[in-house]
Amino acid sequence: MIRLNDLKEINGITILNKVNTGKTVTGAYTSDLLSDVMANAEEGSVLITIQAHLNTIAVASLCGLPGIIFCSGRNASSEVINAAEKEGIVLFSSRYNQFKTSMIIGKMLEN
Amino acid sequence: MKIKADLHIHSCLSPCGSLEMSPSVIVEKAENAGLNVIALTDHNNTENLPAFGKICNRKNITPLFGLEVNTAEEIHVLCLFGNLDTAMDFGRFIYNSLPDIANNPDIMGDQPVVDENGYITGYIRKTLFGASSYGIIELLNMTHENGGLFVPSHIDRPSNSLLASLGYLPDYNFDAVEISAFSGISAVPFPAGKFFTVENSDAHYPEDIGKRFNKWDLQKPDFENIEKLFNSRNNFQE
Repeated sequence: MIRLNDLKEINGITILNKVNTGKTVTGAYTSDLLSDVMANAEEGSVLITIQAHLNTIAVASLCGLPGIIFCSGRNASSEVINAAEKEGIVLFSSRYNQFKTSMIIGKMLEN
Repeated sequence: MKIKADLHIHSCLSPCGSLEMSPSVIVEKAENAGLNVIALTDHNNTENLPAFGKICNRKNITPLFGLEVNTAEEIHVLCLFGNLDTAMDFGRFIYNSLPDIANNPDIMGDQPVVDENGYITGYIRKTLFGASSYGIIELLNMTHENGGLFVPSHIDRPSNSLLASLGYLPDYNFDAVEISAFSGISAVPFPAGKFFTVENSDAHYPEDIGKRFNKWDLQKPDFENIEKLFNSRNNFQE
């Protein structure tokens, strides 16, 4: 079992806000189609995506996802960061693409 | 005659639209801005079109009846019709193709249906934020079969756009393409003038109406003449 706190220790992944980092991550879901995330992501999962905009926060909130990792170095605007803080969602930026980021998180979840 | 047209406006029905955006407020603002033709284009739903049509008919403004569909590829496209009943049928068809996920107003915003006096008559149950199960080609064909115009929205925007989702501008027979009000922030290169381009407000708040519109020279400010204009200046070859 991992916590959001553990993700910020990974080389190449930086945390973008500071809320609820003690929350447990029970899985991960990798997708860039928000309609797919909305239909299939399991509660407690961290979302791995390149969609770094306000709608991503709304979908994560709707699905009960505690954290989002924006891949390929994508950053979030202050508007997105503020919305995430309001919803208690922790945001990260990964310098790796979705595949590499998923592999890193996958290994952590296995251990 | 010289006309001003804004073919992309959201009402309060769109979860991201301001609750102030009742059809009556939209038409009033459009009148003040000197617009002759306006289209109401809510996300994946047409239930505010009847009130919109009634109010436009009282004023000297031509309504186009539309909606902004989120395709299976999560590309936003405007489907525009000259006839209210056709647009309503098409709108119900699109709504039925959305995933059955209830709207959560606290997170996504309210989705009220209002009458011509601005009174709320109901709420749309499913989240309009979802994507249709139909892809862009199917929707293009269905729009044309129903006599509508198919215009991909804000194609240069970094999300929910033709270029963001597909990565290129395909050779489909779009009637026009819309250039974003946020133009300039896109990571993708702007495609050369292959299609007729339109610029609309994409207004979600009353103060946005009239900020961006098209200036056209038409015989009459109506659907048929806009269709004719799009077709005459569209370089697409079948």
